[in-house]
Amino acid sequence: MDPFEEHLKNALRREEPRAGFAGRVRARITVQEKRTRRASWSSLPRLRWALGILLCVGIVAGVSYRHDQVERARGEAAKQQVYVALRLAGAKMQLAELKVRHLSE
Amino acid sequence: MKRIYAVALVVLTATLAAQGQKIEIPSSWDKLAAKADEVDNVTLDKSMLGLAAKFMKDDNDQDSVQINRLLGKLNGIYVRHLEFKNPGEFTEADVEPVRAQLQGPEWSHVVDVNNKNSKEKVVIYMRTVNGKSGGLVIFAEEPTELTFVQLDGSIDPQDIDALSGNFGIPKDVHTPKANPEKPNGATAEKP
Repeated sequence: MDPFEEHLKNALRREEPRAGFAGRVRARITVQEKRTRRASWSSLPRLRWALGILLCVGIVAGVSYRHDQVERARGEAAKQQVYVALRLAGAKMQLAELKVRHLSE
Repeated sequence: MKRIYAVALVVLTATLAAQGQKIEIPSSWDKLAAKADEVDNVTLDKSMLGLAAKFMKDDNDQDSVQINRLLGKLNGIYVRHLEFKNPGEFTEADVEPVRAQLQGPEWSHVVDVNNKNSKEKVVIYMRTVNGKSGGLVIFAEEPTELTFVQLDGSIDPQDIDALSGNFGIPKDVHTPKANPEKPNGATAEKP
């Protein structure tokens, strides 16, 4: 075996990693991922604000629409009740008037 | 101290009297309602009348304008109407408690129709507080129907006249004016 081959053999010799190598690699990957994620959000602050405002406007519009619908339903029901009351009042007044007329004739 | 309480009580009583008087319908009517074929139950206080008026404004026709004017004067509308399949479902004990509440000095009969043949009785009561109108009650007993309508507020018979021709109110109906000195108005009785 010539010296070159000896060098090559030494260089390519299987070497066991130091204890905790895999754990250190995984920890570094996690830190890297977090940094990347944070960087992507913090790099778009206006988008974050816009989305926040849009969400708030959506919630307010939704609540207002629902409130309007409930109020409209209550108003329509109240209106119908007024009609029922007036119809009954009218019918009984008519009955009274008919009786008075009939008796006076 | 007692005098202060007495004055406060008088003021409170006067305020309540001015605000209106809701006639209590006896609980026996709830049992009658279970037997009835048709039941109408309307309870509209001032806030609900305001809401109804708001939605009537949207209709924007002449009737709605007149009803709105009427609603503006009212503190409440209370209706109980029961319609039965057969006669004799209700008794005097069911109606007397209502009539009893309409006997005070503030109440006067403006129309009193009592037909004993057809067993139909319609009385229109008018409430007068300090010379001003304080409301109207129409109480009708028929063989198969029992109707109570209270329009609480400073309603004038002219307000009803304004609605004549609509809602079954005759075109030429003229409800007599309440006269505090002469408690009973038109009275017709047929034996």
